[in-house]
This record gives sequence, C-alpha cells and structure tokens, in this order.
Amino acid sequence: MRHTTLATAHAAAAPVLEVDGLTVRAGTGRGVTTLVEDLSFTIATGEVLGIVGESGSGKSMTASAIGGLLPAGVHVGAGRIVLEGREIQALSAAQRRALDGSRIGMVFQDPLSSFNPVRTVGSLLVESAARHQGLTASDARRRAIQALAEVRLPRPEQLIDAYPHQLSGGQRQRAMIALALLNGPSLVIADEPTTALDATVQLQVLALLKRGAASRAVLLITHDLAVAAVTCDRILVMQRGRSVEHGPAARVLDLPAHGYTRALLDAARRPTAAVEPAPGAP
Amino acid sequence: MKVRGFRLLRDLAVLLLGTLTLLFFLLRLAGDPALVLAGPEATDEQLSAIRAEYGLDRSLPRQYLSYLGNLLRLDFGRSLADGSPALARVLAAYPTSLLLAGLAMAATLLISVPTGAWLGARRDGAARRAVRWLLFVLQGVPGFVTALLLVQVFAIELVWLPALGFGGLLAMVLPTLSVAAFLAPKLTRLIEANVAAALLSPYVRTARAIGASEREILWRHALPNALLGATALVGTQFAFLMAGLVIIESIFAWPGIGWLLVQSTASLDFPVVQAITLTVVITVFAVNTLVDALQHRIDPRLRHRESLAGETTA
Amino acid sequence: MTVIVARPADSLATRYLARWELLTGGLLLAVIGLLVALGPSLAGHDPAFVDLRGRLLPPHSPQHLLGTDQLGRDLFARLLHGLRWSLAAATGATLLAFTTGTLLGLLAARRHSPLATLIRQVTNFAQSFPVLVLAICLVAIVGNSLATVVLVLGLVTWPVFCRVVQAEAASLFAREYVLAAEMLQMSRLRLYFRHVVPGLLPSLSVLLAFHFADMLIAESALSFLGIGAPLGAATWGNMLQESRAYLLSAPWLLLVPASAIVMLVITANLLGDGLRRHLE
Repeated sequence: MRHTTLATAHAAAAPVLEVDGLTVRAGTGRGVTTLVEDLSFTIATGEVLGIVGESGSGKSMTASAIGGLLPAGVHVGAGRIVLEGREIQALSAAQRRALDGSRIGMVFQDPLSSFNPVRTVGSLLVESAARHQGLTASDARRRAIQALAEVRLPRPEQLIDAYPHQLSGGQRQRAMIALALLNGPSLVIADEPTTALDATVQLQVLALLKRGAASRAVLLITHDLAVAAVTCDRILVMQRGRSVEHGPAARVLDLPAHGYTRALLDAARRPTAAVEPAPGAP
Repeated sequence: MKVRGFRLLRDLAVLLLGTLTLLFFLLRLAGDPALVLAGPEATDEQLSAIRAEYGLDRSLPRQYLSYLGNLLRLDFGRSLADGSPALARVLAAYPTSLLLAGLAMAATLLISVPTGAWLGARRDGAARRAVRWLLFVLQGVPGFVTALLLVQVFAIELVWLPALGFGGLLAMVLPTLSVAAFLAPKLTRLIEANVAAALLSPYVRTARAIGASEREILWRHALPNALLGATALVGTQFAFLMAGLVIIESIFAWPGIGWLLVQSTASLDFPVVQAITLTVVITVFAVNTLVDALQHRIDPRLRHRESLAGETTA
Repeated sequence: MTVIVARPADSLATRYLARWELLTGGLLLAVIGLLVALGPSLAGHDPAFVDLRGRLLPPHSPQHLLGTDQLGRDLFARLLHGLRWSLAAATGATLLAFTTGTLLGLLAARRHSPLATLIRQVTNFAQSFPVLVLAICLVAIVGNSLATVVLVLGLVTWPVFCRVVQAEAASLFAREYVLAAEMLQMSRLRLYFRHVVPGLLPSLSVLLAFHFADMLIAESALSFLGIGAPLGAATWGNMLQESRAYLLSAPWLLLVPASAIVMLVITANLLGDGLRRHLE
C-alpha cells in the first residue's frame, strides 16, 4: 500500500521529532493528576503520525506539550522532547518563542475562535513573517500573500485584509495552515484540524496537510479514525494518557493488536454508538 | 443608513417632546414664580405686572401651547433671575462643563486602561491585591466625598492646589481627579475582566503559537479586544458623568450648567431649568449615538457584515 | 479536542472570596443594624441640642466621643440620626424602585402585547432622562422631607430593575411557558409566581444590593446640595455641607460623616459582590 512504501522510504532518515518517556502532569502536591504517561514516539521528515484517542486520552496535552502551549498549572513531569536534535521540553520562554512559529507550526481545531476577530487574517501572517524571518513590513506582506496562495486560497491579495468572520470555515482553516507553514517549519502539529469543518471540506484540508508533509514531519491529533486512515503513515492510539498501540497505519487499521483499538474501529463503523470500555483496560 | 438616520431623529424628537412636556407640567406645579421673582414684599400690582410679562396668568393648556411654539423657535424665554435669554445663559455655561467632562473622561481612560491591562495580565501578587482593594474602596466612595477629601488633603493641608474657582491649570486638577476617581474603578474592573478573558482565549493561544512575547500578546492581541468590549460602558459612564457634574461644580464653584441648575431650581427659574434639561438630554443622546456609531466603526464584525464572495469549495 | 484546562484554583478562590465578602458584609450589616436599633440615644446626647460653649470640640473629648460641630451639637448623636435617615431613605427608595420596576418588567416581558411595548418605550425614555435634574425638580415641587426623597429616588430609578426583569423574565418565560404549556394547563399567574419569579431572584438580589448603595450615595448627594433634607437636620449630606467652612480648623466635621457614608456603601458593595460571586 502507498502508506507503507512511504513509511519505509523515510524510516532511514533521522527523526525530526523524538519524544521519549513524556509525562505530563497537572497540579502539584496532593492534587496531581497525570495526563500523559511515559509516551514515546518519533516522526521523520515526510511522515505523518496520527495520535488517535477519545477525549481525555491525553492526545491534546501531548500536542500542547510539544508545541509549548501547556495551560497554567500543567507541566512536563518527566521525559524528553527532542526537535531536530535539540531538547526543547525545558527551554526558557525566550528560546521557546524563537521556535514557535518558525521551527514548529501549529494548526488548531476551531479556526473561527483561533483567529482574533478584530484583526485581519493577514496581520498574523505578516507578524509571524516579520518576527521569524526578519522581513520588513512590505516584504512580510508579500510573503504572507504568497503563503495564502500556496494553500490555494483565491485572491490572496484581497484575503489578506479580510477579517475572520468574512471567510468560510474551510478558508479559515487553510489560512491557519498557511500561518503554520509560513516560515518553513520542520514540524507541523495539527490538533483536530478538521473537526469543526463540513465533511466535504475536511478532505480538502487533509489533502493540503498531506501535501505539506512532503518536506516536513506532521503530527496529527484526531479522535476520528477515518481522518487518520486518510492522512497518516503511522498511527499511535492513546487511552487515558498511555500509548496502547503504535504502528504503520495499514497494520493498525487492518490488524489491531489492542482491544481498545478494536473498540475504536468498531465504533467508527457505527457512527452513533459509543465506545464500550475496552477489555483489559486498567 | 438613511433608515437609521430617520429612526435616530424620530427617537430624539420623541425624547425631547416627552422631556419638555414632563418638565412643563412639573415645574408649573412647583410654586408661584411671580412671588419668587418679585420677592415676599411685592405689591399686588407688581405681581400682576410680572405675571403678564411672563405669561404666567394664562390658563395651563394655553401656556403649554405657546410654550411649544416658542420652543420651535428656540425661544426659551428669559431667565427669571436676570432677564437675559435663558438659552444664552445655558450656552454660556456649557463650555465650562464640557471642559470638565472632557478632562475627567480623559483622566479616567488614562487611569483605567493601563491599570486594567496590568491587573488582567497579572493573576496574583500582593501588588495586584492591593490595587484591587483600593479600587473597591474607591468605588464605594461617592464622588463628592472624594472631592471634599481631596480638597482637604491637597488644598487645605498641603496647600498645593486651589480649593475653589475656575481658572488656571492647577484649578482643573482636583475637580478632574474627583470625577475620575469615581468613574475609573468600574471601567478598570471591566477592562481587567476583558483582558483576563482575552488572555485565555483561543486566538491568544494562536499568537503564542507564532512566538509572540507576553508583552506583545497583552498590548497587541488582548487589549484591543478588551477595549472594544468596554466602549459600551464608556457611553453609560458619560451619563453618570453629567450627574456628577452637578455636585462637583457646586463644590469647586465652577460656573457650568450643573451649578446653574442647582441655582435655577432653587429660585424656580423655569426657563433656565428647561433650557438646561434640554441641552443635557441632547448631549446624553448625542454621546450615546456617537458611542454606538463608534462601536460600529471599530468592531470589524459589525463594520464588515458581508463575507467575501467565496467559492463553493473551501 | 483541544482542552483549555480550567484551573481548579480559580473556582475555589472565587468561592472563598464570595464567602469572605458575604461574611464581612453581613457582619458590618449586623453592626449597622445594631446602631440603627439603638439610635442616637446610644450617644447620650440629643442630636439637635445646641451648646455654644462646647463648639468644635475634637473627637475623644470628654462626653463627646466624636467631638462636636460648629454649634456644639454632638457628632456621634448626629451621626446615628443620619444613619437612620440614610438607611430609611435608601431602603424606601430601593423598595419603591424594586416593586415598580419588577412589576412593570414582568408586564413588559410578554413580547408582543401593546402594554409591553408601551412600557418598554417609557423605560427607554425614563432612562435617558437626567436623573438628578428630575430629582431636583420633584423635590422643589413637593418640598423637603424624607418622604419626598424616597418618592423621588424610587420613581426615578425604577428603569434599572425594569430592564433587568424584563430581559430575564422574557427568556425565563419563554422557556417555562413552553414547558408548562406542554405539561399542565397552568394559569399564567401561577406560572409567574411559581417559576419565573424564583428564577429572577438571584440577579435581582445582586441588583438590590448595588441599587441600595447607589441610593445611599444619591440621597447624601441631594442632601448635600440642600435638597431633600430640611436645613439643619442631622443628615450626613447636611453635615458634609456644613463641614466645608471648617475644613482647616475642624477636619473631623468632614471625616466623621464621610467615613460613615463610605462604610455603609462598602458594606452594600461587599454584599452585592459576594452575592454575585456566590451565584455565579
């Protein structure tokens, strides 16, 4: 299958992202909860890794931890996150800021609320380009228009001055992807990028992400196995903060080893049914 | 746009008509102005002369009709105190009040915006608690009490600033501060709440994801949204302000319309009271309309209702 | 699904703060209630008793805990008298505004009746009218007395309650009415009292506290301007006005009534804030 050949082709390349024993905790003292426990995986250039799980599985926290966006009160308890050979889980705020938006690009779930309603869509792009590439205002604007064109948005020179509410959901998400890819990051993290979109639009956005994966590593977070099936080379299944299954997409989807994965697959086939507790779950 | 303009005019007309009618009937019941004007020692002849001159001897409905007729010609009658045209007296006092209102509003914004932003950004700390406590106390102190206390401290004890009078830069400080001290706490708390909410919002998370510093996030990404949500309050604060003017002008002896109002009501100077009421009502209405229009202009969601002509595909 | 973690500390802090505010406010209220009940007799002097030999005595003078004013009248007694006056005025005004506003608001909550439209127009109009001007006019008509002040303030500020009640009742009514209509043939009156009014109570109670504070301030402002309280009566507004001539020689004439007003308003604000936080 196409997935497997790509995966094997890139397996030899050095991983862009290496996560080793990541543990994320919330609270301190007696009120500590562990949100992610001992998670390990790698992603190489050209690969799309999908982390699949239900809400509460810790997949979003994983994305936030790597993206440096953990909310207050939540912190990395143990483990390493290595990006392009450099440990990033304990960087200072200033060092982190140099990474965010330039080496790491993020795509969020709800593009309407993820854009500031009182600022133009382009202003964020211009700001990011100016900051990370040191461009002048007019150069940054040119780069921003170019980025919007690269995600196949029509009339980007007009769109750059539009406000978020003037765009459709799909257009907004494309703009969000343009923002993520703007400075040529080596890692893109997409957290539920299509959940808030119509079915017809979802496929287009996923195709865009897949295209962007050609020259970088992509981490895709989703609760929807169908999304993972379409986009990902490898799939990691999380349940309650732990990894329960991890392997090439084809293998995980066709021959799931863990009961929880099987339950997820079954649930995906009957969209209205809830997932029953997996056999052997802790 | 035209429909809005027409509706505005209609609202204004209804407002004015209702106000003046109400005032007319109320004031006419207040007492016998002829007596007030002529003094308790006046003879009957003097009284009837005055009644004839000011039209006070006609029947109530006829007074009302001629009254409305006068209004349409912008004739508010003559002040019972000194015989000068009532409207002219009011308009002469108007700029003084506007000056105070403008200064106070500016001072309030200068205090509220940075303080609110700072409070919203810091989640804890002794300094923050102290400032919030101070704001709470300030909000509990009535404007005129603050004024009196300020006068006590800065004019009487420290003799840095004049206690009374209108004229000179220094004389503007205490009145402005008094009004601002009363308006600022509410606005500050609103801005603080808005900033705190904005900082937790998804779009600030996006800004963080592209590497914006905390300072950039506060000033460029959170504050504009916070201020947008506060413009409505600024409008209502202005109405408050107009009421506060009455007292502050009395304390500091500023010859504005508030001070004029108190004098005129005490002496039952109907024409002047009417003129003042009218100007205040129009001012408040104008400010509310302006704030509304301002909101429409600066909030992109209201300004650009149409979406870009998009294709059916995303 | 992206999760913004609600910090557990936040809601806890809110609850503690609400509890603290309500406790302190309640405590202060109890003290105030005690002072009101005991009245000027607690001071051991008649608030109107003039003693020209004991003029402008500072606080902690023998027999005069808070000193005397320019006519030798005991400040503590005048303070307590003023407390009763202010509380009576503010309570009366608030109750009047509350009753009128709530009734009208309930009537106006039914969207499409002509009465509702009329009430809404009148409310709009009343809110645009300069409050203090109307208050001054009305007092000039009816004369200076406590009843006047209550009447004036109550009749001028009812739109505050009307607006809130109207908006909330409308949404409550829409919700509850549908439910009730489906379930029982409930009479509209019962609907109001059993379902709509209880739903209004939380925000109304907060509004009551804040409105009370506003009435306190308004009454003392009016009395400061010489409107509402008879000349020479022992009200806080009057005391503040009279203190102006003696700011240099006898600052306590200002500070005593000023502190009292501030304390009372802060109490009301504490209760209002605490209630609001508690009910969030």
